[in-house]
Amino acid sequence: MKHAFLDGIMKNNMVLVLAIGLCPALAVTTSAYNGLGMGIAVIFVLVFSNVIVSSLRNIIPANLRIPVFIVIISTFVTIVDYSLKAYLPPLSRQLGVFVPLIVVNCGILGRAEGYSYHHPPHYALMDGIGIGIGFTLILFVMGTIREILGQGIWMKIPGVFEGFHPFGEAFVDSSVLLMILPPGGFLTIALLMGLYKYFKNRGR
Amino acid sequence: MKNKVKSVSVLFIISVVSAFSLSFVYEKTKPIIEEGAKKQIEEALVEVFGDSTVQFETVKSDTLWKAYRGDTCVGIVYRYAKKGYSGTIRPIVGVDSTGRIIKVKFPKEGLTETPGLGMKITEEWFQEQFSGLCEDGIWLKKDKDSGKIDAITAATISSRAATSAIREGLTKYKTYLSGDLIKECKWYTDDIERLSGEKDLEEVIDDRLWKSGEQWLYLFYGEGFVSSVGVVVSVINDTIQGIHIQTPEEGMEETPGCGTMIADAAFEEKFIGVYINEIDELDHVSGATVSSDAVKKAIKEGYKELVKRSEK
Repeated sequence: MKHAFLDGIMKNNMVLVLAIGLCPALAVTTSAYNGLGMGIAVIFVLVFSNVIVSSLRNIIPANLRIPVFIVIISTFVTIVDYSLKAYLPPLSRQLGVFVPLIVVNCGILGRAEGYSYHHPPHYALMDGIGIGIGFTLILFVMGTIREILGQGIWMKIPGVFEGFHPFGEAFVDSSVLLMILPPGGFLTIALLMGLYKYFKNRGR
Repeated sequence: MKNKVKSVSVLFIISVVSAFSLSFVYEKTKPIIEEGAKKQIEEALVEVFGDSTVQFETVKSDTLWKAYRGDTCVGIVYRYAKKGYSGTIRPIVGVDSTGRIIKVKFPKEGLTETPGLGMKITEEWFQEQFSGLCEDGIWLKKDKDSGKIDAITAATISSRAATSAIREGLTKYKTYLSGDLIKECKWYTDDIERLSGEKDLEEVIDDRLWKSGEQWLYLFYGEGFVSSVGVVVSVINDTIQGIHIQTPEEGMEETPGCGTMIADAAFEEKFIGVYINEIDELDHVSGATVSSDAVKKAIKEGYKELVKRSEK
């Protein structure tokens, strides 16, 4: 059980290792706050969909499993979407269309199909939390890198907090714009994947 | 056959449970979401109108509001969309009863301009440029001479779209300002009104000479150090009753800190009660001799015109 949790964070990291759910990972990580918000929304959906799918794994007919997964996932995504709109409107506006798009985040469908459908609920729960935290961490790191290099600030929360200036305020004007544009997302993701592989293989 | 029935019923039951839980969440969050959206619009309206004591009446949902104080319409707030560099730019604009912009705001929601470039239209300095402008000022400086808006470096398309959205919206919606309140909006409009004591004026020459009984008002320009300086003068029987010298905010372009000192109230006051023929004896503003002369010249030349007209 412990393995299900820990593996999800690093060994089976959704972005770095499984390379699924890259679409939101590239799109929303223009700032650390956005990455964090998306990650937390994904944790919520992933945990609930994993547990439900795993509890119903003996009832769901094998040939109908994908539509059933989608119904379950989209239910939780819609719940998250409404709740964000009601209680955290600024974050909801920032994340925009990416919340509804969690439905087709292959990471969540992938975990339902690849893990929860074959494991008991408590394992599925741990896997959901682990994978979710791993996804949130990587989104937060990507957001941090892109926000600092691309805008010169860190942890800016629109309307709440102005953000830190890790390289001084002067850096804001000379920041590397490319990093918050789409190519910056690919560069960051490639860099992180490469670093991960490097440290993982160094021991051998 | 048995398998088929099982498949169908499982999917059916899951869908029903899902539908019920969704409708529950929807019912719970709907009022909060609507409340939030309404509050957000109200806050934006008050912000661009700069006055929380007025009542807003929706004319066109999410597009046009009329602002009322008591029964009088004191202005409008509108939104107008224009295609920017990527996606649409849709500013919220507050306009007072004379057709002058109070404040504009570019909401970040739904704005997809390039971060760090086009997105700079949401910065305070860019938005503030529009405050106090009338239609002919809402152009980029590089597009039209009367324009007062500095474009954002490397984001001309976004700046131009933002400016056009505000101007075209104003052209379209200003008809909603109650008819008699629309005045021609020029830098001296308010000053003419103030100097005349809000009496009804007879316009003798378009935009230059006005008359009300004994009182004459005229507008004249004198050549200053950098460019021309406008002066509005009110006279009764050759004596200056009131004067207003164009300020830098109104487009006077004399050297900041030197020539611009002629717009100080202290300099204007020196003229009050003085005979037109004696204004040469008044002291100059030190450090702004040429600009001071421009004012005096404008007063004298303008007066000559007045005399010519009044003799006819």
